[in-house]
Amino acid sequence: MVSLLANSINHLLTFHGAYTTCKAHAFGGPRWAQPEHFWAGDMTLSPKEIKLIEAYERQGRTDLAECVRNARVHQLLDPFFGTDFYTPSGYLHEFLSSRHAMRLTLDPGSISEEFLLDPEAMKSALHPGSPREMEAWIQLWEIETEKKYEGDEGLALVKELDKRKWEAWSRSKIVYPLQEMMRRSWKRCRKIMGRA
Amino acid sequence: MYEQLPGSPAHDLDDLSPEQLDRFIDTYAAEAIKISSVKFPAVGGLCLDDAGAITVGKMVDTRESSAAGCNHLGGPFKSTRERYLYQIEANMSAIKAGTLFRYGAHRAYLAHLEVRDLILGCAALQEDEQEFYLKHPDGTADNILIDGSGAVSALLDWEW
Repeated sequence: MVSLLANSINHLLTFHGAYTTCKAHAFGGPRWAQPEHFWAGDMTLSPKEIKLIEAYERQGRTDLAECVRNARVHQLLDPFFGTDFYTPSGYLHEFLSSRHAMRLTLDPGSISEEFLLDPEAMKSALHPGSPREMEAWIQLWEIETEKKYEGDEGLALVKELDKRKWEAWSRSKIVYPLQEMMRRSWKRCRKIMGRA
Repeated sequence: MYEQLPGSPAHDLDDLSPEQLDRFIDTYAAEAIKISSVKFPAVGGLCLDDAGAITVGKMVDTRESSAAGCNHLGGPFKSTRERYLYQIEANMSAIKAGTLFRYGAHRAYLAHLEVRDLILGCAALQEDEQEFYLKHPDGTADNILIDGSGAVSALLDWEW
């Protein structure tokens, strides 16, 4: 809790996640005001954001109204530093489904270098209909982006890491159970054959 | 403390009447204007210095899986751009070390490479920043208490 008095903080309790940042980030549209389909790439101002802009203007703070108009850069980056960042279903899908809007908002020049995507794939990326469609687009993105960053030494390391984890997982979930099943079947066969 | 404060959590703002929503937004703007009167010299987390005064220090990592392998995310920083780039690099180091994104590390790393390039190319993040302001780490309506008219009575959970 933060208590303000005479333009300074006079009480500060349970504040360890709060931080300081630039004006555009601090006063840009809060999450409760964002468009409903923000993470599907809708970057237009929501009705709540428009009301917030009007409220700031009525109260003589056109500078804060401007922050709401220009908040998208920071809102799009927030998941990379947020508390649910590390859940694959959280940030990665948000990032990928808003990726085109992200490139347009953060660095419009990067669009010219954009690899050519199948229009249908792009459509499904902006409005992923089903998990299968989304996964197909992710695979396409993965292949093309890997080509772009081919020389990055960290990428090779991470790929190897993923491969080893997959092998360990498949050994524990597929290979070992299968071996155990075959061992039991063989034991049973030998028992039956012995009886015969 | 939560129970001692007036009002109840706003939760779903779409449940408010048009009049309540207008009141909510007006009073929220008034609270934000009050917060904007307090300025800081850098980007970072809040802490107390040796004399007990509030100052800007390292950013606290509240995630279950710490990216940097410690309980902070660096700082103080001179700009938001510096903060973003530092933390992107910290995330990438943690992915390579296998401590962040234990599954799907390859995709996560690719996403970070792309985002790092976008931050480097972003003109808006290259603007000169002199003053910095307090930000709530979770801007959902769940952390806002409102009274029956929709007016904001408290902003909670700054520690999230």
